[in-house]
Amino acid sequence: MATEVTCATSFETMLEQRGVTRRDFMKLCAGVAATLGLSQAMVPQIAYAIEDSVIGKETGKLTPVIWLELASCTGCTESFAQANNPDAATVVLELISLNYSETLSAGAGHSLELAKEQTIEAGGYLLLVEGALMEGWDGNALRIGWDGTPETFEQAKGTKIVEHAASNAAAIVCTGSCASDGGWQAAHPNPGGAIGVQAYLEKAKANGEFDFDIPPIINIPCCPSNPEHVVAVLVDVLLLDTVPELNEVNAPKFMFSQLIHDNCPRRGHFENGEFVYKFGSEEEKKGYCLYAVGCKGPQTKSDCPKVRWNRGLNWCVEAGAPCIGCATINPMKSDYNWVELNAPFLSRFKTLNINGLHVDPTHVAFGVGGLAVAALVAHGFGMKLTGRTKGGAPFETERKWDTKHPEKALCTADAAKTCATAQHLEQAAEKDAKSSAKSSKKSSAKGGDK
Amino acid sequence: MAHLAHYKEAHPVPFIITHWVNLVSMLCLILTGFYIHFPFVAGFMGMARGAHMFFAFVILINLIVRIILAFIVKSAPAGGTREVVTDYKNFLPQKDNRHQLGAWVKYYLFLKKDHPLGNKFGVPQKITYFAVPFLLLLMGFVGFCLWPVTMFHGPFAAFTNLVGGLMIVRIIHYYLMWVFILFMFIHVYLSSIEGFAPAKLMFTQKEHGGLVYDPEVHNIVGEDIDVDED
Repeated sequence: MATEVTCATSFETMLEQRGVTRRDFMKLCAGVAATLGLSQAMVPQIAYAIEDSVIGKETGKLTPVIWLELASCTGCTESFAQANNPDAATVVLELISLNYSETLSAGAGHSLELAKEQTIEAGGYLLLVEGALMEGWDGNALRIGWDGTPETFEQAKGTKIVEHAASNAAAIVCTGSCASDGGWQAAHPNPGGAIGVQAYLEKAKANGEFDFDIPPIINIPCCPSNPEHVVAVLVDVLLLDTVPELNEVNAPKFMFSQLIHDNCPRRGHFENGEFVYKFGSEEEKKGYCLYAVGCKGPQTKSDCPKVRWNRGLNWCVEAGAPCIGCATINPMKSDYNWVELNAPFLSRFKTLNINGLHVDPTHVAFGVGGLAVAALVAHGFGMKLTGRTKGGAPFETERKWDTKHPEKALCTADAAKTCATAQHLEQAAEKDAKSSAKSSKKSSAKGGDK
Repeated sequence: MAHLAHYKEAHPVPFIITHWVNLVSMLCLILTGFYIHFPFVAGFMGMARGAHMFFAFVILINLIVRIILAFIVKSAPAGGTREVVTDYKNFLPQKDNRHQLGAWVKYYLFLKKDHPLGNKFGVPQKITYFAVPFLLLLMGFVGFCLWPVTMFHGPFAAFTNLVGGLMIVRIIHYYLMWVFILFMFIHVYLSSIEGFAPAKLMFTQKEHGGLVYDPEVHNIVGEDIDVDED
């Protein structure tokens, strides 16, 4: 028991040394529980799990983390570790055994690469990937830490680094849209061949490039990934030993299965039909709905309005910027990354890329519609000129095919003239003419004697 | 008088009703659809979305009713006759239309001078009408992929994922609407360019005299000039 107390105290000391109070820490745990959709009754368990896993603890579980950074803007790291004002989440991440991170690790160079190698060899670690894999130029579009020897030339490719690090991982967490599906790196016209971790590993495995089982992959979309989401997933995977329930794109279901639109504080204005049509207008001042200026909230699944950003301070739409749909991912289709799907951001539709020609879908539709109307009008003049507008052209007396194949004919002109109905109609007409009496011929038209 | 007589038997009352329902629903769906795509006048979004979903259900239920009626109600297989067959047969290939696709295409391209013989629905017309129920079902399906109430469920979520996201689904829904708009342009044009008799019959059951067609003989057999215009 004495050891337990010492450890708890030392953890608190560690927090205090970094300017985080016990209260802040418990708030973080409560936030994690909420983000994961867990009951508040789980908060102490989360707190205990974190306390139990920090570096320096002699007993308990310590899952190492490797944070790989590939083709990225480091926005996800920045978003996570706001060095200016470190808070509980950042500190906790530091305390978890982050064995390798290009940006956050204090170490650098060979010693750090060695630490990574040792972690991979030991296995059971969590692999966190930030940024897209680059397949372009045979995988040479992105190379990291080559020591200059020909033997390691292949291994220094970003794709191979991920492959190697995935080989022994307990789970892979893709932070941000780039790692999930290539993100904006995969957008036109980048020739680097950006692709997400899931798609790359599945493809490489299918091609027989490796034979280990791909560990569970958790995608955390958004550009950058929301630190609240990352902490929640880390706690879930590292400390509670569970993989959160995932949706069809392998993103945590609890965070990415509701439309932003459905939880939006501006939703009332949407229903009322009160829209911002122009920035700087009266409507914008009134905080109206941003739908007409291209907000992608109605088609983007994320809990941004609930979790918010910058530690719950605010988020895009509330701050006045239309959602640009950065939470949209298509792990298996890099060409459907959120930028390709949602640009131009201030338009209701994406532009279509037709053989390199970028056009708005509505222009295509109205163009085709206009052409159709023009064609019909021209055709109408043709019908007028050929005298068909008053009842159409005279009917053919027999089908052309029948003329060519008399032995198989359905009905020749002669047969039509001499059939019983025709004769009956003729007789009726003659009778009419004789008596000159006007009578209804409804019955005669019924098909005569049948 | 070159055209066939127009008799009530071609379009019995139940089909006149379903046709009206289709017309009204489709116009409302297109109008509200354009509004939902971009609210060109402020103030109606809630209403437009409500109406859009209401008419979506109306048109889908109407489609089901129309299909059931096709197996119950009898209608004329050709213009110019009061003979009737079970209606669904008029949407499937019929003898009177055999070998006539080329004739119809040529007629409308002015490469053939005389009017092709055939059923109530000419060959291209029949193919188009046969496709409409499937198009409506597809349109409904894609629409449900965009409706928050259904979008997260089984086949709808799977379709969205398959095509790459809601943006793509929206564009598909938009272009399918244009298929219906083009259908309506062509439908209205072709049904009225040779005179308004077919439209009058379709909307009000007003009959009109003309040539008499015998479905048994598969040809025009005479003329019926003065149909009572009561």
